[in-house]
Amino acid sequence: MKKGILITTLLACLSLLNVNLVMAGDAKSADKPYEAEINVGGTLADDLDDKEDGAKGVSEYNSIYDKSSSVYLGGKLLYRSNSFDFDANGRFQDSDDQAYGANLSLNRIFIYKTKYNEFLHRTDHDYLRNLQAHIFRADSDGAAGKADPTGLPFACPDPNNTAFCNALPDTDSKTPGWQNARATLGAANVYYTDHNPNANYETSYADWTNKFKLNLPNLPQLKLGFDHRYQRREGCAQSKTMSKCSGCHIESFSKSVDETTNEYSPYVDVQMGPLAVKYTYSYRQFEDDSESMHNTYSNLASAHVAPFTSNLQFDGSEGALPFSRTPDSIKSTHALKTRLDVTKNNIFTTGIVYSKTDNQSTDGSYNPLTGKYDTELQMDSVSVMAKWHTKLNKRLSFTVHGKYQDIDNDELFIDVNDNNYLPSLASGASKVPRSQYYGLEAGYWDWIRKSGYDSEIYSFGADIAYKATHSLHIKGGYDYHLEHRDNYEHHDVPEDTTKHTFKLSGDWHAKRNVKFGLGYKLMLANDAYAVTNAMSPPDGSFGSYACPSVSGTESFDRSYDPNIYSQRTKDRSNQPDLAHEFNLKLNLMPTNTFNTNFYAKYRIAENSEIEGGNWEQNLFNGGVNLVLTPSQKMTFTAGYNYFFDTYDSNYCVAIYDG
Amino acid sequence: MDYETKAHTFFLGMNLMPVKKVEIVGNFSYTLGEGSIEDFHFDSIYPTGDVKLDYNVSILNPNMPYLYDTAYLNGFAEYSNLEFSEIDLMLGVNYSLTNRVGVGLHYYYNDLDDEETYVYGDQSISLQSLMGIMSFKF
Repeated sequence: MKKGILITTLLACLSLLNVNLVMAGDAKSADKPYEAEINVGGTLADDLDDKEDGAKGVSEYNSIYDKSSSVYLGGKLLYRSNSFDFDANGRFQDSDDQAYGANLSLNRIFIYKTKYNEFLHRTDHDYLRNLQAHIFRADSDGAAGKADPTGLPFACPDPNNTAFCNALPDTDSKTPGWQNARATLGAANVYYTDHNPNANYETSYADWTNKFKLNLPNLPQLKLGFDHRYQRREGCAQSKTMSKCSGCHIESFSKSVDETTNEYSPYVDVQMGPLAVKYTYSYRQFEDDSESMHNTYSNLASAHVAPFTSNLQFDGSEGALPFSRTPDSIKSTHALKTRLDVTKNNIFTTGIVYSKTDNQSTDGSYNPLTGKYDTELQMDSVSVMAKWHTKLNKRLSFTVHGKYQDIDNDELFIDVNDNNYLPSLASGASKVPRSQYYGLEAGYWDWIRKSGYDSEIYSFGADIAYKATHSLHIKGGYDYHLEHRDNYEHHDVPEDTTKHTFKLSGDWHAKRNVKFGLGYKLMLANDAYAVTNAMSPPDGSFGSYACPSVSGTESFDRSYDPNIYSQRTKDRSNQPDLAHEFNLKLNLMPTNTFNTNFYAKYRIAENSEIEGGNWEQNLFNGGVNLVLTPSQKMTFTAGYNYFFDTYDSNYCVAIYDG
Repeated sequence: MDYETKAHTFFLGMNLMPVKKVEIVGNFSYTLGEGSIEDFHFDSIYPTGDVKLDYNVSILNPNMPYLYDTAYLNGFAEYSNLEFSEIDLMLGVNYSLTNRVGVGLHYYYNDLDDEETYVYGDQSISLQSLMGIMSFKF
């Protein structure tokens, strides 16, 4: 459709829409207790490129772009009287784009506020094509000519080795199940299957909040309240899972989304002279009624190449196993906050929060493969904070603050499944426990999984503000942060990370039409978060890596250690141990009708503590805003923003020993 | 290796009341975004010493003689490339028929040009829409 014709058509349709004239009435007048406004209209939309629905581009949150038309209804209502105040507003553009709100007050004793908002979010469909950057071609038809920049044709890698090739019987596309050959080939390869290649993914969000407040006339120092928040997410999303070991087989499925969160928060607020105390109890429940996803993973190479001694916990022989699930949970929180106005210029505030979160999806009969542990897993958190603010005189004010938090997450017993060892492909051979095969005690590999959440966090700091002159204000501050990880040894991370942050900024009102601001922040860290023993030395020495000597290609019975794991002696991190941050802002008003604003931020950060190669970041964000107002009836704006961010890091090549 | 992200954003806006009862509004923005992995290169590490990985497959692809070599990774940085431009335009006019009744007509044009279509497919799209509205106050 040519644009000219389209516009003409749109205008014609619009004129029909505008026939929907609305009610008439009076504008606001002094003696009227009410005001109202009604809006009626419509939108005609056109996809100029006739793109397929999956091309969301600028329409990520646009629910109507793939509909030719929609109706718009909106309105406001306001009513005021001596004892009754009410206002409401609403907007409907589409079933996936609507918002409503209302406020009610009865003699200021009972106050109710509510908001409802619904919108659509179109999410990405990862077609997994980047996985073509591997050795073998990925497409299920394996045809030559596919747009695969690096892939080789899928075929027996050594046609002269008849024994090896015969161990791959399903490379023939005429043989049922031949695609699984890629998962069962004992070589470095990755491939994918998108089971829903034409799917469009989108989720509809509905948010509803309600706030009730009761002010008791006979007890003005007491306030009671109740807050409620509801969120519902419905739609369809992409979920992925992967078979691994002999071949990485990434599979993508469409999954329905049906998640609900409800949070109820009653509270009591008491004012006793200079002391205010507020206690809030919060109960949050998350329920996931989304489709239960199951996948039967690819079989291991043991089915084809004997005697392959796989070390995986599961494969296709375990049948369908669950994946892509979010557990139902309940979180209870108690929060007690106080504020003491010692004097007008001395304010002391404290807070203590305790929360408990229960995972309600783990209490089935013990089976680690299905995520059941015969108990509801629980995480507790306690935090205590305090802050003192004092204004010493008209020029100088001072703030000191501190916080402590302790997080404790349940540990888990993991019963390692060692029943999938097939010592021989001889007819009648059956699997035996691996521990039995090696002459080890039963449960030799069982272990206790300790949570990486278990930690104590300490922080304190001080800020000072000084008005040097009427036009020059200076601020400074220092923050200390210490994070202790209880189970650092189990997660290969530092035991303690400390951070020192220094801040200095100033605002100078040089002239009536010139304002200038500068800021600087320095962060120094010891043992920034990192993964220890994550990589081999970055000096290329590992390039001569060699596996244990083996007698033939069929023998995969070799270990990742010491030839791989023990070679990883260097740490990796993407967190800085040194960061400088500069801020600049300048406001100029050359004339009364022309206002300009310049701003810039530059951050340079690095981590030179890690031995696995430095990590560096350079970030700049800056721009200018111009506002020209020749008259009260004319405003022009213009602006430009430039953003630049670069990370410099070593790339670690995965060493694969299938 | 480096990973770089750059974005330029320009915008213009106006709000005019040329005659009584008529308001003209307009906004235009243009964004150019780029992202890519730079300085990514591996020399060949072959031979690995691994019997299996050292298979000679040159008969299948002369450019890739061995089953595994880090040099084969050199092409995949292209998958990190990001380049797009986006134009958003809005022009509208509001007219007060009376003190109580007003009409408005707004035109929207949105265009996204995706130059690198890896991973999520081609996100390019051009949309236009026209919104008419009548409002009444009482």
